[in-house]
Amino acid sequence: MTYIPTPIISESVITTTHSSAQSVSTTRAVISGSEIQYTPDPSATHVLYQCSFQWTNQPDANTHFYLSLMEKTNAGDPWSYVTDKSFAISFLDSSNACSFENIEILIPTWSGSKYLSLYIRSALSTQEGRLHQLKMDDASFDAGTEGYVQTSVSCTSLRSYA
Amino acid sequence: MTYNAALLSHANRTSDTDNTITTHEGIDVSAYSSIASSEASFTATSRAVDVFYRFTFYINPYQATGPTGRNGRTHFKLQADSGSGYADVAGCEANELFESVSSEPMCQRLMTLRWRVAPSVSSTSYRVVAKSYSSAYRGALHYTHFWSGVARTSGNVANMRVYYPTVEIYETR
Repeated sequence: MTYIPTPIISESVITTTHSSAQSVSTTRAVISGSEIQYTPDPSATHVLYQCSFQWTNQPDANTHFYLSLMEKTNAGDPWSYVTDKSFAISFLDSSNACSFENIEILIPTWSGSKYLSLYIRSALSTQEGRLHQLKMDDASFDAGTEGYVQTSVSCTSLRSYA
Repeated sequence: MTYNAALLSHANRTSDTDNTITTHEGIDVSAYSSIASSEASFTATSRAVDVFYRFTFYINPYQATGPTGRNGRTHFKLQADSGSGYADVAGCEANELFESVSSEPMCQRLMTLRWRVAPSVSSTSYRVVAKSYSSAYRGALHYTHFWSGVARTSGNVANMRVYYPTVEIYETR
């Protein structure tokens, strides 16, 4: 196999620090820190969207999240679903479940500026959760005083050789 | 066309895949301990806007005496050392918790920790330290306990499959 490094043409990064948790309920919402405005390089063929964040199961024992990549052109526009970029996170046999996600979604490039973000909601009101705050840290477990994890989002312009 | 986000050609990037692993790595339950394969050093250029640390590995429940382990509670922290000793990097933490109410053992997942750190033009060492909540909630890294219907305890890697962890650090401009 011959490996050809994927050339990076341009990249934008936003890191968000948190001081409060974000609840995940049956009402869809943008993951705080997942939004980015990006203009791909004109020579790009694709854009890699990446978003890293922490989730925990509170308040419910079971967790079932739906996530979708969203887009809009202007800040005041409503969000639209990016076609075929929805997925789920599910732990339905658990009393405690937490994880750190690093979402990577490759999409065709576009012309001009666009906003991207991740929507999240729970499937049922009994499967809600929480974002950004740890459940276990140096000092405690599930005391509600645990620390917060940064959220990073980036867009990278890539050019395919094929 | 194939893209691998872990192998992008950033202008300034270091990476290492630890292919010397021959055993499960149980996560300490009494203190935060370094995951050896997570250690790497990096020097950012003056053009760096952001530096990302990224560590990809496989995590299971630790199974001491049989294929009974099914719970894990782990706290990960990124630490940096610019010459005066390792210290925690604020905001660069993660939890991986999994518990099963069934009596069946379980495997868990391949996960990537990815954090943004402040660029430093002097050489800086990074590592991930981890601690499990207790022996009843202990994690183990790198080997799956199950393969083709065969179960093994942590420490017994006969006929098991390993995922070699990869650490990467790169700057964006």
